[in-house]
Amino acid sequence: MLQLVNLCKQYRTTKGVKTVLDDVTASFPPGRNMGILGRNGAGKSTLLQLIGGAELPTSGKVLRQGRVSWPIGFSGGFHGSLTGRENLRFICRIYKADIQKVTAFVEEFAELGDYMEMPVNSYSSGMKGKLAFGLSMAIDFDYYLIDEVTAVGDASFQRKSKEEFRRRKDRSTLLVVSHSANTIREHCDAAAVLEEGRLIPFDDVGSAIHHYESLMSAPQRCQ
Amino acid sequence: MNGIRTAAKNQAIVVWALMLRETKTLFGRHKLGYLWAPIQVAYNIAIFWVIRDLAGFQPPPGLSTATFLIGGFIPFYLFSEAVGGNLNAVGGNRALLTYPQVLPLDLLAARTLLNGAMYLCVMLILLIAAYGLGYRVTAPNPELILAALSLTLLLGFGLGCLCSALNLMWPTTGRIVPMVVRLLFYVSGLFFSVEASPAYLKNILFYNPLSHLIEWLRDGFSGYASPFVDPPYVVGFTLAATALGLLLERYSRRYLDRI
Repeated sequence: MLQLVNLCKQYRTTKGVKTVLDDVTASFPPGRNMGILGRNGAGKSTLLQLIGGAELPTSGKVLRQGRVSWPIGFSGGFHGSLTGRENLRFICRIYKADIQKVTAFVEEFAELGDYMEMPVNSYSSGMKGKLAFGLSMAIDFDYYLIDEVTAVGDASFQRKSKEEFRRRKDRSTLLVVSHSANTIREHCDAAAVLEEGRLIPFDDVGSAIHHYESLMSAPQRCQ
Repeated sequence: MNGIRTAAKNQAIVVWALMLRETKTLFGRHKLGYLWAPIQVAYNIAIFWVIRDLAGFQPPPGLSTATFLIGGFIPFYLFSEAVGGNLNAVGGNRALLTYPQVLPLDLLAARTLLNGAMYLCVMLILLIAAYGLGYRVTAPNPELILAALSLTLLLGFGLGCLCSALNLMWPTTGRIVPMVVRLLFYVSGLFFSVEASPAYLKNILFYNPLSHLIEWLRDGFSGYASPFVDPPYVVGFTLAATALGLLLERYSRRYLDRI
């Protein structure tokens, strides 16, 4: 179970205090893939950072039961001058995962070949994404935080990723944030809309998308 | 109690993983990268060795020029690399904080321990080299050597935490700290004896904890007890600096996402 309790996040900028999340309370039970819709800049990525524990909330709490992944698609934690394999070892160590098992899985899944022995600096952004994605699949997380699913890899890799998610559906839960209704429709069983710092939950994906689209057609209010 | 033990174990795993990661990034891709640390220290020592010899300075009783200079330079590097390395340990590794088990303090601890291990090795290499070249190397009080080195490392860690936190809150810190460290290079008694300097100077240098630690380390090599060293002062200073550094590190976390 993942729970957000009165979660607030504010950033201090030169233009004053900006409230990104304003008293968000929600719970994400295991086994129900959840989508969060929001336009660009609505605070979707910030929400994922808070759920993953990368950033601290200004106030409120995130309660986690089970292992939560880093935001998938994030590959900034790799050190450029280390090889793919060396970066993999580091992640395995901090997540207490079996290095050999993970290596075998990632080699098979990410299809990087000899690039595993080359510095990550020499990778294309697609390759970095594949490595990060493969790693997150190899370390068994209970919750996967996904920032714009479609961002990683080419069409064939995306097919493979979708296949992998389908295969582990009964042991892992997805939490997908996206601005695209199609993405959410494809992956999720329930959805919520993030708008002006508030998270509005819906029981079915259809009504969430309906609400989101009505918001999108209304003129955007400047804050 | 059990919770604390598990948490400590988890942090130890993270710090160890970070250290292994940093050995690769710090020393570069080449095996010879490790050699640069002893070469650099040896080079600096050689410069002042020549200067001292030309000027006709004699090392204080119980010390050879080798142990005198090694006893000065190793603590200085231990300290300055801990402070300088920690200055950017958090800011420069911000991306690693995305993994929630990696905390800013782990980044600081990993850097400090790695630097400490490295300069301990450098010291042993240089002492063995000096002995091999026929200079007198003695260590009648090894416990003083151990105490001085551990305190230097802790002082570097504490002030490193402090500087890292200040650097997050106030980026100008990053420019000022190297200047202060440079000053300490000249006034801590690396290449001269604080003990033998004039009284008015000694009274000022007394407040510099690094000069106490250097003298203390040399006592370990010489077997004499330098009257300059004030253990309660230097231990108190170190503990206070560490406490303040840890407090400020905790406080500065709120500045991490302000860019």
